[in-house]
Amino acid sequence: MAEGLGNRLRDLRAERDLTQAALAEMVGVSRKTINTVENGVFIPSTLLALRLARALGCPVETIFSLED
Amino acid sequence: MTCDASVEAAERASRGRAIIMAIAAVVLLINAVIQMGDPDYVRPGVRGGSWVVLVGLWMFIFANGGGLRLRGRMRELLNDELSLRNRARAVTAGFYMALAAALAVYLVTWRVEIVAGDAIKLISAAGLATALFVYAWLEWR
Repeated sequence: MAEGLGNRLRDLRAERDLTQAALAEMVGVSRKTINTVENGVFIPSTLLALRLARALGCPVETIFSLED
Repeated sequence: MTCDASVEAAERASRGRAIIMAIAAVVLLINAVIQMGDPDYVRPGVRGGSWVVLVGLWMFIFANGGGLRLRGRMRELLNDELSLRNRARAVTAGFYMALAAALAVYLVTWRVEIVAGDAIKLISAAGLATALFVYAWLEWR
C-alpha cells in the first residue's frame, strides 16, 4: 500500500460484483490500472479517483482515505 | 466487441507493445555496437543516415506510445493514466542514463580518441534503449 493513502477499491468493486475489466471499461482505463490502484502501487489522479467514485456510486472518500 | 473484450484486447496489445519496445532496445544497442568505430557509419550517406532514421523512428514511436495505427477507444486504453506515468518514468530513466553515458564517454576520451559521431551514438543508444527497456518492463509487469 502506498504510504499515507488507504483505499477500499477492491472491496467496493467486489461488493458490486464487478470484475476489474468491467470497472476498467466503466472508467475508461486498462485493467492493469485498476489492479495497480487496488494494490496501492499506483495513486490515481483526482480525475480518475472521481471517475471511480462515480462508477461505484459512492463518495470518493469512501474509496480513498488518508492513513494516520 | 463486448466491454470486457475491448479491455482484454487493450491488455494484449499493451503486452505486445512491451515486447516490441524491448526488442527495439536490443536492436538499437546491437546497431550501436556494430557501427562503433566504422567511419562509413558516421559519414554523410545512407549508412551514416541510418542511425538518424533508427533513433528518430523509435523516439517517435516511444513518444506517442506506439499506437500509431490505433484510434479511439483502444488508443485511449493503451495510453491511459498508468501508461503515461510509466512512460514518464521511462523518460526519466533514459535521461539519467544518457547523462551517465555522456560522462563515461567524456572520461574515456582522456585516454582513447572517440569520433564525435560514435560518441553521439553511444549516448543516444544508452538513453533511448534504457527508456525503451524501462517502459517495456513497467508495461509488462
